[in-house]
Amino acid sequence: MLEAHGVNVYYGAIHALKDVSLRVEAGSIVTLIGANGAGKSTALRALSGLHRTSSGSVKFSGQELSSMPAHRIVRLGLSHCPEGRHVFPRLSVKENLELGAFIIKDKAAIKASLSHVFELFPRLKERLNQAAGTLSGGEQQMLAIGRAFMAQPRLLMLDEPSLGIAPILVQEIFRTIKQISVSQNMTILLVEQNANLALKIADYAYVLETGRIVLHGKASELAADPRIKAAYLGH
Amino acid sequence: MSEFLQFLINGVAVGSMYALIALGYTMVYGIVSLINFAHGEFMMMGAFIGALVLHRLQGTPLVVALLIAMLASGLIAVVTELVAYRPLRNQPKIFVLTAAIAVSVLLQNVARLVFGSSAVAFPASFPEGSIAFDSLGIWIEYSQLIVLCLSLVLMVGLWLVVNKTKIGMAMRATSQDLEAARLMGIDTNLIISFTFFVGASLAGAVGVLYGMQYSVDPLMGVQPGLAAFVAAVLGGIGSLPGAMIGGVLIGVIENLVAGYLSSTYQSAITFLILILVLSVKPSGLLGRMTVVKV
Repeated sequence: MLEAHGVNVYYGAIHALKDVSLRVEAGSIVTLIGANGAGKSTALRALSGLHRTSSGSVKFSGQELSSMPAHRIVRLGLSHCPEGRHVFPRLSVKENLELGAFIIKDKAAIKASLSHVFELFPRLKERLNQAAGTLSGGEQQMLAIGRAFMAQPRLLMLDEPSLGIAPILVQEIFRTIKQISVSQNMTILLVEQNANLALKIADYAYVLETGRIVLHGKASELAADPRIKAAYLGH
Repeated sequence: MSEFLQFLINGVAVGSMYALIALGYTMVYGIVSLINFAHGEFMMMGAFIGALVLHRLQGTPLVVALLIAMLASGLIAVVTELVAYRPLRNQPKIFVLTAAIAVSVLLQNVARLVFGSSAVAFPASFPEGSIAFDSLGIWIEYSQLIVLCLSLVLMVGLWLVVNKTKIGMAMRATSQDLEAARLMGIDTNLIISFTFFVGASLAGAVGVLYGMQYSVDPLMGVQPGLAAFVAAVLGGIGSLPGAMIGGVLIGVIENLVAGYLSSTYQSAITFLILILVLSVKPSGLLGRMTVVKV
């Protein structure tokens, strides 16, 4: 579904992504793990068009994305839930979700996604008219995922959904991510610093180190790999 | 008492024009964090273009001239943003601020070149006369009434666009988080252009109203532009209701000072009040405290 080939990204003089190639198969959960600053978020930003790639190709369902602006990429069915949640703080939960469906014209379809989001995250329904900025970190994360879901994507990219969130909510959010994947047959690309959690729900994994993919394979195999255990799983 | 009420009425009438200009400052600031110092010149351009239309196309209804002036001011602002501000968007803020000052001077001189440097009378004026409230000892000029009504219509229109339409929702989203807005599928460059257009067309409308009451000259945008900038900051830059309240307040304060003290001190006291408000509440009357993210 998504195929990146030899992607290079620079932040000024910093070579943030070096020849990154990865594949996301339809229906799977693929995770990109690595230490802080390895380039995981940069990779997602390059895929969704927030950051320009300087070379390489990104193909989504056969369509080249690398010179397409972000607002057009989401229309192709690639939705990006950014690191740090980035909900619209002074808009209500409802307005945030409506903005998630900005590209959808069909009113009935929007209503259906909305009720689906409430099934996934019942808390959001209770907070419908509350300003998003007043939600807790965990609730904001739910809102950010829900908002990305509202675009009715074929590929959902989630950046660090566990960041800065109470552990009990992290479990809940990851269960929901798995649920979205299974019940909707949604393809998911998950960036996560918490490798333990990510490898548990993912099918396939890539390991990023200082901008380079150093290892990839089935998530279950990587979870058992001594190198991964030593570096990322804390065993 | 009747004196005070009269100053109040005069103040509200002028202030509603300041408010319309201040809305443009605050909208643009809200979306690109830029104090657009050329904003007063968009108002001046509106006045000139309105005058030009009425002069060249005799018999054009005033409302049509007003709409053309608004459209033209809006387009000038869109082009200004495209040519002078957008290329500097990712540079330090001081660059684009300097560009705004440059555009301001440029537009003043373009107007001088095209229209000449002396003040000209606007080809149309408000109907003479006033409505007197004898029991209160005050009166409202027709011109003031028209200005107030038109300001109200434009403000309600703006409120409806911002709060009740899809493009308004996109404007609010873009002003709160530009990157997230892009991820929602919003063409943020288009929204920024649209914001400049709407803000400048309000200023252009004020230009026509101003011209009809006073006269038209290349520097006519400077004083109201400055007063409206103070109004926007006073009300809380980035806040639409703040700009409206700030504008009316500045108009009223100016008129009270001019009426009871002397018009010489008008601007001095306006700025003094600004300094006082900002030292007590730096975010302005209705502004949010901006939290600087680390």
